[in-house]
Amino acid sequence: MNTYPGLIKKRLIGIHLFNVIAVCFIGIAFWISRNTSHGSDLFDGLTLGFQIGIFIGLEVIMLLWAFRYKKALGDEKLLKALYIQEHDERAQLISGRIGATGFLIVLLGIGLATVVAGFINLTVFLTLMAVLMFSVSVKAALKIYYHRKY
Amino acid sequence: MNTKIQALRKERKISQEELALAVGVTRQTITSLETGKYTASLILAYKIAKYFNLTIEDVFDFSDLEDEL
Repeated sequence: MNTYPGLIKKRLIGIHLFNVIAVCFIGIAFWISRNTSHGSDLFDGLTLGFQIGIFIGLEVIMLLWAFRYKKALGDEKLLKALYIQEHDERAQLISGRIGATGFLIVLLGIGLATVVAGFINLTVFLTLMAVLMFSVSVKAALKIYYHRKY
Repeated sequence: MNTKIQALRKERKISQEELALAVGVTRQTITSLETGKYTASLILAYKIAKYFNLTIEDVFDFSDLEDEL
């Protein structure tokens, strides 16, 4: 708990950095979209909207967290409540279970999509295959790491 | 796992929120402990027992485990 305020301050710096990067990205994305085309107005709009939308969404979340952190730094009770919420063992157990089960479900979904894409489009098939192999490699590496750690 | 946390709290007129704050967990965790949905870690069990000035065995019911041994 003693080091928690310091950790919150570091997170705030990280959030501010992210916000600067996000604003830059949104500007660059707009500039690039004006100079490139995928051949279809709908597709151009969809990709640009998705890319910018993600960053705007993340920015909103980051700003909410920044507000929460700043408020907590000025109030000891709020800081303790935030610390408890973050380190509650039951919440951590639930997060771990969601991560493990959710990751498996996503892997199965990508596997299924890869198989289906193989009948339709080679580029999509290869992209999904690369995503699947990367995901499985990450899971394997983490499994080895945590088995050795604990 | 069954516990005597609820009975102990009511006996001493302590709210779930007060106990949660004292042992460093959320109120929802205390609720889950009292309903037997969640089993506390050793550290949390120790903190709760210490809060009530009792031993872990006085707060948590290990009779199911004893049958297995």
